[in-house]
Amino acid sequence: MNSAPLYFKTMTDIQIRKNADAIEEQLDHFLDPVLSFRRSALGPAQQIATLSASEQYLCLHWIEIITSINAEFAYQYAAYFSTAVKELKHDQEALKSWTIDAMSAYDERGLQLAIKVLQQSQEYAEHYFNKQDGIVLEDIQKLLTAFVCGLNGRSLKIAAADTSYTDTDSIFLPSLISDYSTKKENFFYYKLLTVYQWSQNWFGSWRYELNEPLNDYHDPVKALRLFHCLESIRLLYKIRAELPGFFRQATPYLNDFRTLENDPKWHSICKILADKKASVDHTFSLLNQYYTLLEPIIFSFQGELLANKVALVKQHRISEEKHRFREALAQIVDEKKQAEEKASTDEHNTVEKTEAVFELKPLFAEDEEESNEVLFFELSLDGQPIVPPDDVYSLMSSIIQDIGEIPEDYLVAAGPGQYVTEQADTQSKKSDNAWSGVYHEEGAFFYDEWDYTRQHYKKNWCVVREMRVTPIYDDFVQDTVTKNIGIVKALRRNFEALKGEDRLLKRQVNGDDIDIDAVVESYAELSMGLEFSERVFTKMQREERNIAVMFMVDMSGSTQGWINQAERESLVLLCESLEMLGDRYAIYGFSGTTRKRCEIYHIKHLDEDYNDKVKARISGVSAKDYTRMGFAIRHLSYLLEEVDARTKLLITLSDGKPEDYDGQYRGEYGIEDTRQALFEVRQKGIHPYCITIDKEAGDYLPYMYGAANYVLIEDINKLPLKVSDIYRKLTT
Amino acid sequence: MDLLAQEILPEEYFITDEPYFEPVGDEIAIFTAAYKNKLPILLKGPTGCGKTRFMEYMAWSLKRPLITVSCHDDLTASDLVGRYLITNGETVWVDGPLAKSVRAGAICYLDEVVEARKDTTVVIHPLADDRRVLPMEKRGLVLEATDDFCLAMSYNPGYQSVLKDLKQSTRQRFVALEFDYPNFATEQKILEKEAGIEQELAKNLVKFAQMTRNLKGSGLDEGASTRLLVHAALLIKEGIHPVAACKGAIAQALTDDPEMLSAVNELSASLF
Ligand SMILES: Nc1ncnc2c1ncn2[C@@H]1O[C@H](COP(=O)(O)OP(=O)(O)OP(=O)(O)O)[C@@H](O)[C@H]1O
Ligand SMILES: [Mg+2]
Repeated sequence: MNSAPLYFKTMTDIQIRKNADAIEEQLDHFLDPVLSFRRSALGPAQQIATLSASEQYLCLHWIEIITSINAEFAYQYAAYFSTAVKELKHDQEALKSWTIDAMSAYDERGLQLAIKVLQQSQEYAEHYFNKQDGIVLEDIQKLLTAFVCGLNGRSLKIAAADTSYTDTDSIFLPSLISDYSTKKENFFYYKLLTVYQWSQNWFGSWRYELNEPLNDYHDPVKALRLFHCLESIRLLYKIRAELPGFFRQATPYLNDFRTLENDPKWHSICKILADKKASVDHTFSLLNQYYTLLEPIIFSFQGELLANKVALVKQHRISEEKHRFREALAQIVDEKKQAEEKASTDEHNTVEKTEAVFELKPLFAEDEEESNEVLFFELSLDGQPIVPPDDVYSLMSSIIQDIGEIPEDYLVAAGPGQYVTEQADTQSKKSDNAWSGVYHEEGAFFYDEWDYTRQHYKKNWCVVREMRVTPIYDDFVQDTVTKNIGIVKALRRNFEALKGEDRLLKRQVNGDDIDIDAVVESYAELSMGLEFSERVFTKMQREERNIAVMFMVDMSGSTQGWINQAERESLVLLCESLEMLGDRYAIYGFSGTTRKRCEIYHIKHLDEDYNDKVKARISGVSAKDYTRMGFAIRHLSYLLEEVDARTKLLITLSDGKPEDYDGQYRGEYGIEDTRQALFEVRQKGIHPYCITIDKEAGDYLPYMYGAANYVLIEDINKLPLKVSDIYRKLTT
Repeated sequence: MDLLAQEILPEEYFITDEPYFEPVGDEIAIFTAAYKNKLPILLKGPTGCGKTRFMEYMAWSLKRPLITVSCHDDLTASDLVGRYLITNGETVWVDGPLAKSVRAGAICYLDEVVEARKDTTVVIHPLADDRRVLPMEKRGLVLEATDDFCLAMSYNPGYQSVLKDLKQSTRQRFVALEFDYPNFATEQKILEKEAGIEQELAKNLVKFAQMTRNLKGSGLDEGASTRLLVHAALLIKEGIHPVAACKGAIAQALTDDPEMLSAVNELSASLF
């Protein structure tokens, strides 16, 4: 099988400008299924003929690819291409990006919307060229998220929206900023928006529900605008005090603010809001005072105040955090009790069971007396100050951010009853239930997939979930061991030999013990007038096996029957041998139907014991759906990446090549994606290896894994023995 | 080996000038009480929070020599107890730092003890319970500790993988002192005194440290330690711009991830 990607094949063509006839001929060939007596390729061909050789080449190249997806789409592409070339100013990068955009639209939303992208090349061009000096949120999302996380307070997520606002859980920002002429300025503007929205959260703009007080005004919209303006002024003063460096950098963006500060009408307002102690209460009272007197200014960066969104998020969070906080207190009580009981067993007296009393004492800032700003609260239990764990600490700070204090009724430890309800609640959120009922992506992992036809990744393409294998408690494991006792014994011997042992190194310059032989020799040499050798020590050298192995087991439908049986038996034999070796190993199954249902089945975690539960899960491994492989490799290597081990192996047990229900994953596409995923794996320092029973594996496995990294097994009984070979190779 | 050439006598491990140590809690009282009662001490806490400095201070205040051993994963029991070496054709026994400490009635501080090889517990355990003896297996004798001797070790619970956790039988022999980054005011004071910088600057540096500590677990493995703050403060005092100093002395020490680096740098640029 020739697996070289299409991309390489076409690169070798020579680029000569073609005339309309030649182009029409090629288009006829590509677009045949959608051409008819009334619809010919002549029109598009004539237009394409006017383009440069490289543009023609690009066009035909993409048409060939698109045809394989959808011929109608390809025809439309041909028809709109020449216009797009002009709109996009003959910029080939722009053309490529426009093409990929249209293809993604096709993938995600279908033909009609893809054609719309093709038609709107003018809008696309505008957007594209703006982006050249603009900043795209996606590119700096991680940076901004870390940035706000570093600033004080609850860590806020960053997400894209049409305007900038916050719901007190996330900060929403436009997906592109290109208002300024340089990237630097556009980036700073993002930072300005972010800091401003953060300040609403940190300096208590949302302490109270906003709709109610504003609805008391004759014109609530007007009241909202003035409130927004006053509150922004207050926040700018806070930012100036808290982040002086930032405020200085922001100077060029704050002209409105400066004008306003110098305006006598606003003078007394600014004075009040600039005060260290100014809170949102001051803003409300100024609003009341000046409602009829002042026309608000709208700051360019202020975005919107969306009280309804905040209310929704806040309500949910407040009740959840109260619950979590009380539970954390219960845990603190528990721990204390346990410690006391432990201590009291020596003295044979029992601890009195009294109600635990929690108290909070506000801690004030030390140095400046005029400020009564509460820095934090000290938590005490039965009169003793305690240091809450980090997560409780941030919980407290989040609660204080929302309501300004920790109310009395929070300070009662949760009773045992509440534990139960909580658990029941989280259980129902578990991923096994995710498919039943309404489809939602909560709790899922997302992985990119490699599309070789376009040589780029489809973002967050696969929706991956960890599922549980239904355990079957039977004698499968025991029976397998009994049946294969010969193999098991041989394996144990093999693995025993691999086990790292301390080696005694002789004739060392220094060491733990004297190498008597060497000393005797040296003395002899010395008496002969030779130089006394200093290499007279022995040293123990530890050869620590620091290996983590991940087994990825094919649970696709094609394994139904004896293959599944063999796979399960192999797992048993592997576990028995690996237990002997003491290496850490994990087992996961994989299967799925389409990119939206990629499933990873947990059988054994890396640090889980090989216990009855694991055995029952192995027995419960069953054939499921299809063999989409890229996501499984990506997910498991993600898990493996987190592990601290010197050698990491990802071993796949499979019966065939990648394939999925939607047909697209079959053949080259699936092979290329799998190959790409394996490439990513190697970059993470993980060794991939494949064990297969597909007799045709020689056609594609060497291409994906490399010739030395797979093995074809005709007799499944040899499988565990082969694995010990791999071990020897990789670990010695 | 030039082990012999480097040998310093325990007398020379005395700390004569009072080291600057800013107490954060009641650690001095507890250490003193434990020392009086011949109990070994375990210092827990993140890197650069003043454990070593504290030990220096205690050694000075108790007027005992301080012998520090930085443990690494090749450190064996013999490295601690001692070994035979050959000098001028003769085999001679050379005490390791632990034996030296026991003989001299010094404070022996085993830094990052979980890094050491498992067999070191063999010599640590009998020293750390009420026997207070050091078995010297190779010489067939047992060294008894005097009342002056003190065993202390440090341990950072955050770093090690589960594999490298301290064994219960070891940790339950020690009086534990928990260290953490000092509170705002104390840390500010440490910077002012240790690096000799202005109050305003010290304040902003601590603020910046707290920002990086907010990022612990969200992109950074660890926030800036007091040690890094001292470094930045020293650079600034030499005339380096605060943003550049934070970048060099703190941000680069915390991460290699380019995006996290920019985020941390943006944070310091917001403050200075
Ligand atoms: N409480 C303190 N008083 C005075 N200086 C301190 C204090 N805490 C930290 N420092 C400063 O921080 C620096 C680093 O502290 P130290 O070397 O003691 O850290 P450590 O806890 O031993 O770290 P590691 O675990 O990495 O060895 C000291 O040199 C000192 O400048
Ligand atoms: Mg230290």
